[in-house]
Amino acid sequence: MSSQSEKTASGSDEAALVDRVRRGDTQAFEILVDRYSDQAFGVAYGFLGHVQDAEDLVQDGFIRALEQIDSLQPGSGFGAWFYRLLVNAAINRRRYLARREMSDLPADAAAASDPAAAAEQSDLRRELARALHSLPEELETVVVLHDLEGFTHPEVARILGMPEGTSRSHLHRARRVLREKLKEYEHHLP
Amino acid sequence: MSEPKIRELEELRAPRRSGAQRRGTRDRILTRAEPLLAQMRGAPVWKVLAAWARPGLAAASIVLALLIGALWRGETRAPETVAGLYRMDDMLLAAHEQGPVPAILVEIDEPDAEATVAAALASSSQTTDGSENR
Repeated sequence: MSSQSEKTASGSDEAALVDRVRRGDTQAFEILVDRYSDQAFGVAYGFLGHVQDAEDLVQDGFIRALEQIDSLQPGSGFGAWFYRLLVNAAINRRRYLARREMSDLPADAAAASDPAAAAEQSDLRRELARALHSLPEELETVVVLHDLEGFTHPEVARILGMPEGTSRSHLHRARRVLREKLKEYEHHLP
Repeated sequence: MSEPKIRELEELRAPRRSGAQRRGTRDRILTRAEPLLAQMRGAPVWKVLAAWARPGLAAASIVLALLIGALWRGETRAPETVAGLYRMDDMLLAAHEQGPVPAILVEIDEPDAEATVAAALASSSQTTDGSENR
């Protein structure tokens, strides 16, 4: 999936919306929320793996963006700036949860009718999540944005403020490490 | 060559949210945002400046009050200093009331030789009597 929000938002349109939001225009803010909240939820979920935590993070992210809207350079797009803010908040939130020893991800998607299949799916999910979150943060972030949420490399590069080539090499390395980890997991399957 | 995508990662993608869930999130965001937006709407430049000026004015009035207080205290303290100078005279007068003060100490003009001798004689006669100095 490619990021619809980034593609539909032209630069001048975004800048005008941001300008209106700066003046307290509710309608302009609503447009930004409608444009970015779905994908923001996806990104937040990719890091936290929990529906309610992801919802809360998206809400907090929009409020923080509104509070800090003056730090967004005039004329620049809202999207990349907002996702960067969200990714940082998600990483901080997960560190906080890990400190509270609550980092084990609940298996939301394991609501299958067959309990055995559900258990297996849950195990795979948990193992995948563990493998993903064990990556260095910059690699993990690229995987979440590119492979889970469908951002393109130029978009990932813009969000994370890195060259496009770095985004590509991070993804390459991340996939290789993940594949190794999953191979180990498959060996342990009954 | 780039590493192919890992299909299993699809497992970690966010579940699809219902329309009601999405509307709920949107409404909660907008409810929380409204006071902030209202603040941004209702804050023309002069209001912002006034808000900044308020603590400044408060601080300035405190400083002014302290200055006035210090000046006033300085003025009221000055006569005390003069009174302090008078106090020496008072002590001399009080000493005089208790007994005779040598003329040499109370006279402003240079002592008269006769008066000094007379005072000295009077003083020595009182000492020999032993009545006044005890």
